[in-house]
Parts: sequence; structure tokens; C-alpha cells
Amino acid sequence: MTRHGGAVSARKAAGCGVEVGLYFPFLAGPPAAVLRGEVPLDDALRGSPLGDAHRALAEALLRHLPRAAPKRVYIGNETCERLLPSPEAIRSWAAAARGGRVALSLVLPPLSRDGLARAESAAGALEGVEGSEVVANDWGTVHRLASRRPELAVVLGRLTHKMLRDPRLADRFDSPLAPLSARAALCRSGELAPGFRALMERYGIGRREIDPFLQPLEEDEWEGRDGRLSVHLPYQFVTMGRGCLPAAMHREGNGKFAAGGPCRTECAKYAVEFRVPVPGGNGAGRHLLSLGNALYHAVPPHVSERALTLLPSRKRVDRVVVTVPAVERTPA
Amino acid sequence: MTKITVPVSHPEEVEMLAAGGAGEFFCGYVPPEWLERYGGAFWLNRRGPVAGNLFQRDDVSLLAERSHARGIPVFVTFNAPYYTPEQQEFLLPVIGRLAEGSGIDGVIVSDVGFLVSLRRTLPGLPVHASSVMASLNPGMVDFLAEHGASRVIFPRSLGVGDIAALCAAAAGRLETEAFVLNEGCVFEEGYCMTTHRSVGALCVQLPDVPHRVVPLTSDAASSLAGEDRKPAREMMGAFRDWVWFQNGCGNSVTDRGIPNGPCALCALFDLARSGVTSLKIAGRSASSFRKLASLRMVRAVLELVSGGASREEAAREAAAIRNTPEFCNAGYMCYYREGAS
Repeated sequence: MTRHGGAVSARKAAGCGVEVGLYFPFLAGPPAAVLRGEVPLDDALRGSPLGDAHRALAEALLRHLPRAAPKRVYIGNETCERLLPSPEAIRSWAAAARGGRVALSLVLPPLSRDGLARAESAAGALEGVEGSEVVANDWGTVHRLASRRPELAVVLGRLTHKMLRDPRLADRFDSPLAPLSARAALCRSGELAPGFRALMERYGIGRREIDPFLQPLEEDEWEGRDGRLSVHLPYQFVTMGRGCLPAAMHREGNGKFAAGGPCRTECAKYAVEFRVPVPGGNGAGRHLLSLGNALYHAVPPHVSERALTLLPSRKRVDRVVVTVPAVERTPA
Repeated sequence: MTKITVPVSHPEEVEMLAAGGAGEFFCGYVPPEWLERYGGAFWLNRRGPVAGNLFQRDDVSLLAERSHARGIPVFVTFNAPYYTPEQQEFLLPVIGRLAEGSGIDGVIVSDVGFLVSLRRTLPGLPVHASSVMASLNPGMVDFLAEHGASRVIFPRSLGVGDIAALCAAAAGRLETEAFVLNEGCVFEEGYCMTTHRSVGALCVQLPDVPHRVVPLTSDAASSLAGEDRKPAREMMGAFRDWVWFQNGCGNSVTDRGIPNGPCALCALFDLARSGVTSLKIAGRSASSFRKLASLRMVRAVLELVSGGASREEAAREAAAIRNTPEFCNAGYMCYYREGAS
């Protein structure tokens, strides 16, 4: 179903050939109605306690991608392996999603040795699930999945996309005053170099995720690739650690921030918003959002607009991934 | 015996650090042409263009010559998180000249694509996978072995148990290296997309900027007004402490000149048994004295362990050498904190 209530093909419903996915990083299970394909995009984003970024994004998405509807759900978490779903949970979500013709993406964080073993089992639960894929955020996981589960489609997660994302500084390179060579270097990655291309080919990776960079990427970063691109909105990944800020709330003594310590999934209840001063700025600073063990920056509307405006002319970019950090839990 | 890998930033430091027990050296090299192209905007390695780097290839040659005379290999770090295609084209011949003309023993890289290109272009040159490559699991050990790396440097965030397991996975295929002293990082370095240039370290800045805890659900809002109010307030104080310790206890030294900050001296007993082949002292941009003081501490405890000291004896001696019980007991200064509670 679309927001207008009409049944249309998956591609049409996705909005001008662009698929829209919803990423729920902190939910034990995605909302059942979303899995059934019954939630319009603006409803999915409405009422977020993180407010403005989502409201503006929903409006912009529907303006740029008329009739856009969520047709893919991302499960798991890109920075914390504690939030890796069990194979049983994945199987039950896959069954629910099948009826709604919603595809599943299992998101894996950078994995420890224990996490890698659990992730292999979790990924196995997607075998035979049409349209499913695994988003890997470290090359060890890519290598392991390619070796042991070659039938799975592996997407390269945005954490592996190495580029400057410091919100205190990045958009300064969108300035004519920035040195030309430095500006060029900071508006592109190393992924068009022969070595990286060889890795993409070796592992058969046909899709990579990309962030809404504050600095405008050079043309080749979009179109000079062999595979497809998914663009995340509205949060740009900034950094992560194995120590977790929200988890420190209820830990005792010096166990706070130790990797692998106890946690009560405080990440599902609380975010921490920082206002970081920007040298030479107007005093407003930049907002950083601590979500679990990672920091994100909700990009300003003009950056989302820039990404969405590019979509019709970018043949390689055919998916938008919208992060929904929180929704009120509703009965399944 | 496990080698101690020591930072060096000038040929004049070689003799002193070699006499102090250095088993390997690593250094940075920034050719003037790089600075002409990129100024200070794009760092060639994980240190700024001025601090801790060599600028003339002749200095690298001299450093290598002096080190080799003492039987010590030299590795040069090219560990920016990534290099653009143009930068890689520029760097490959630079590294070729260092290998053939200056006699370096290998390079340290972070960019996985650059690793592949280096192995194709200079197949005889050993390449180490920097900690910035974030090698966290056995899949990455397999990845590195397949793509021709000769060593994996483990990130700071791993525990000793993880390191031992990965050393076992790497045995016979890759050398291994783990951090033992100095230069902490509260984030996972390989996944930190911020920069220290111009704006300073974000992690150091964060505890002192305005912040608010945002409840994500109505239930959470109720909890935050009630039982979670105090823990939420105390959380940031703990974060401030942790950042301070990981940042070298505010970059301080003891009255005996011993650097405070991230440390694994107590864990040397277990590290030595983990099978790790090298132990890294971080801090290329530190003073010569700090490098030597760090080296002496590591060597003293490592010799104790090699001489048959128990885990408890080694840990006791490590704490005694430091002589900062208030810092050690806080628990936030340790690299390897998996047992913290």
C-alpha cells in the first residue's frame, strides 16, 4: 500500500524508481505494520522525539519521490553487535515481511570474533528470503560471508566508506576559499582507485552505502562506480567506539565504557544531544547525536535536498535509507 | 622474546632508543611535494604534517642505516584512513624510492585498497595493516593473509583474550602487534571519521560542551524524570573522567618524567603469552625523553615476565614503576579493560 492507499508495483511504490528503506537501529523487532507494508512514509517518520530532522525529511522525500513508500526494512544495528537479532527473530520477521512484499536487510556492525560467529548464524536465516541482503561494516565480515555463505548478497555498509565526516569542518571544503587540491581530495574517497575496485570485484559486491556528506562529492564518486549506491538520510555517521555512553548510566565502578560490559539497552530509551562549537561559526554550533555507542549528525535540510535533487540524474543511486531511531512501541 | 616497537622521529634518536631495548622502529615521512599539494588540510599519516615526521628522504635513509647497523628494522607509516586515486599514484613511487633507495623494511597502511595496490606494485615490500584498519575478527585475519599483508596491528579496543585468539588465527601467516603504552582513543580509531586538524580532538571536546539527554519514548521520559535522573547526570561526569585518562591524563607526566595515560604494563604477562610478536609504544610526536622513559618501563616489565615472574608479580612491579596508584586504581587508564567492573 502507498500513502494514498493504492496498490502499485514495488518499483512504482518506491517512488520514481528509487527504493526507500527504513532502518530501525534500536528496536528489538521492526514494527509489525511496517513489515506488512502498511505504514506510509510520513507516518513512519512522524512523532519522532528527534523531531525536526525527520519532519523536514519526510516532506522532502515525498516532494522528490512522489508516492514513495517504505519497501525495505533494515534490521540489526550498524555499530553494536549486542543488537544482532537471533536467527529465530529474523525468520519470523521474514515471514511477516513476505506478505507485505517488504524486503529485509540485515545490518551488521564491525564484528568481534564472537559477534562474527553469531552473525554467520543470523545471516543464514536469510537464505532463500527473496530480496534479502546483508550489510557488512567490516572487511573481515565481508571476507567471511563471501567464503562461507556465497549465496548471500553482501552490501558494503557506510562505515567502510572512508571519508571525512567531521561536522565541525567538512562543509568548509565546499568553499571557493579552500585550496583546490585539498578540496578535491576531501570531496572524494579512495574507492575509485584500482586496489579498491579489485576488492569490490573479488567479493562480488554490487552495492555500497553512502552517507549524506556535508561536502559535495565529486561527480565520479556517484557515477564512476560499477555497482549501485544507497544513500542514508538524515543522519551522517561520525564516529563510534566499543565503549557506550548510554550504557554507562547503569554500570558500576570503573566498568563504565568497558567493551562488552553489562547493558540494559539504554540506547533504545535515550539519546544524548551535544552542541559542539564550530570555529569561526555564528555561535550556534553543530548538533551531534549520541545514539548507542556511535555519534551521528543530522544533516541540515539543504544537504538532504542536495542528495534528493541528484537522484533522478544519478543512475547508480537507487535507494534511500532513512534511520528511525525511535518509535513508540505498538502492539504487533 | 616479543619485540618492542618504538616510535622514532629523528635519526639522532636511534642510538639512544636502540640502547634502551627497541626491537623495531616506526616513523612517519612527509615529502615536501605532499605539503605543496595539500598544505595541512589532508594529513599523509595519523600525525599532523609538522609533529613527529621526517621531511627529507635522506633522513629516512640515515635513520634506516643507523637502525640496520644495530639490527633493527624500520617501518614507515602511510596510515591515513584513505588516499584518493591521485594520492595513491603519487605515493606508490615515493614508497618505491624509500624501499629501494633508503632501505626501509616495510610500510604501515590503513586503506584496504591501497594495501592491494601496494602489493601489486611492490610485491617484495612487507606491508603492515595499521590499527586504523580495525582488524577485529578472524575474518579480517584471513582477508589480510589473502591480500598479502605481512602483519596485523590490533586496534586498541580489543581485549587480551581477543588478541590471543586472533594471534592464534594469524599464526604462521601474519606477524601480530598490539599496543602497550600511550596515546589512547575513546572511539574506534578505524571508524572515527573526524579529524584533529584545526578543530582538535572531538572526544576531548565533548565532555565540556552543552548537552541534553533525549528520551526516545514516553516511557523513557517518565524514567528520566524519576529513577534515571541521577544516573543520566552522572553519566557525563564518568565520560569526562574516561576521556581525561585516555587522553594521557591530560597529557601529564609524573615528577620522574614517566608519561601518564593509556597503559598495558599490568597486562604484559598475558600479552606475552598471547603469541603477539610485537608490542607497540605509541607517540611519534613525543619528546625523545618520553619515548625512552616509555621504552624503559615496557622493557623492565617484559624482562620480569621473561624471567619467570607470575602475573601478580609482574602487575605489582608495573604499578610500582608507575608509582601513580590513584591513576592505576581508577581503572580508566588501562588499554585492556575487559575485566573491569
